[in-house]
Amino acid sequence: MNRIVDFPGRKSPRFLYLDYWIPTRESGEKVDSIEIECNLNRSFEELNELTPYEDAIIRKDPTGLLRVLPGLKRTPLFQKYLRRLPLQGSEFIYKSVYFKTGGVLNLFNPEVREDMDNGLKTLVVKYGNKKRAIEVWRVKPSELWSGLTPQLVWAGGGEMEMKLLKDFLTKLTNEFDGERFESRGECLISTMKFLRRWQLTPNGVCRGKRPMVAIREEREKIFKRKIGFLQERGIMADFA
Amino acid sequence: MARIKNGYDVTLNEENYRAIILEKLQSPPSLLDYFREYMNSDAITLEWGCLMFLFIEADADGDVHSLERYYNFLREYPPNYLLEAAMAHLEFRYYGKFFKAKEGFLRALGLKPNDAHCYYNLGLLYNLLGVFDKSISSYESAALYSQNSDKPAELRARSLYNIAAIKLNLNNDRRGAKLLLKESLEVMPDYELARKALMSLR
Repeated sequence: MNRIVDFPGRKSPRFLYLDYWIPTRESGEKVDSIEIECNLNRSFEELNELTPYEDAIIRKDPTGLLRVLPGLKRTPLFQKYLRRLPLQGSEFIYKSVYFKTGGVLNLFNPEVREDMDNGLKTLVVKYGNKKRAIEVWRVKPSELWSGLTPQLVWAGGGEMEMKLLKDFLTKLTNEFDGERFESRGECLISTMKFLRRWQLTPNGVCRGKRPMVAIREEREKIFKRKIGFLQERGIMADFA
Repeated sequence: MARIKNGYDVTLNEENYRAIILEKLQSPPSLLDYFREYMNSDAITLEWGCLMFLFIEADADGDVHSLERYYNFLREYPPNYLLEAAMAHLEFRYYGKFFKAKEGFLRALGLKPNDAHCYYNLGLLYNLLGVFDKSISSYESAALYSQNSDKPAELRARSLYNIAAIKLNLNNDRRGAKLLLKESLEVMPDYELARKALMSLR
């Protein structure tokens, strides 16, 4: 059962997610959402090698997801899963990217809104045409998501990113559990520095690649598969 | 004015408040030049002088509550580089609101271009945000304009060190990193971190 509780007897920070140390409540909640995004992109034998995301597009309901995660319906996470399934057309327009997590590389970033996206605003002014601006914007590394492109943020992570998330959380906990900080800012600066070091350090979980590279590669594959799937079914998407 | 008199034993009046603000700011010269010009505006009054005095004191004391309070009063006056930079610093280091801080530093740079401290903070911010190319270019600007800061050698040396670290970690650019570390040590010979990093590359 997932839980985020106050860290007892400590001044700051004080969040536990399962057994992991997490600097803020927001990032604890983001861990859930990242796991959900990754699970929805996994292929399952029970779904004829489709992902729950793809199955939901075909059936227009969450039955495929419940077939692979039967206990889910009785947990509070079910509503979170439902919100992230492509059951509405809004999933396929560019704005949907602002509801994605950006994965482990963006674990400590705040929620992103469209009005924060100066990159898109600049391109709309430059091209005077939103459709053309979106075409350029979606493949440009973004400041809002740690240098990931919007289309890779939209695609979400997969099994590798899930493993890397757990690796990172374990190392984060080993490094910071019991540490005290003067302020939220100081705490986040330390944890963000740790994250950036981790993402650039070769890691056995991804066969000696750097996590940043492995995460991008996996997201590229997921993106291509998603777009191919949508195109086969004639579904229009801003990211296609 | 009474608070300033009682708390700091300073009497501000129409004749002296500009000089006292400059005295409180101390350095660097580019900051004093900025404020000399800023205080020429007709909108700047003795009341502004009092609020600015208290803002500078709150900043020095790290008194977050007072800093935010005086900032809200001072927003009634023409935009001011120091206020924006100090508040961006607060958003960054105290609240950890990185995007808000980034916008604040960019606003401050719009008011006082070529400010090395703002560029240095942007270098760190972009690095934390995982935007490494912008981090490098911000640190390069910090190094370039370091003469505008109150500790030019230290700021230049630290900027060069940080660029070296990013280049090394991101691209394994050992040669580039070595050159930058050597330059950093030329500027600040007792910079232990740079010395150790350079030794590890040999």
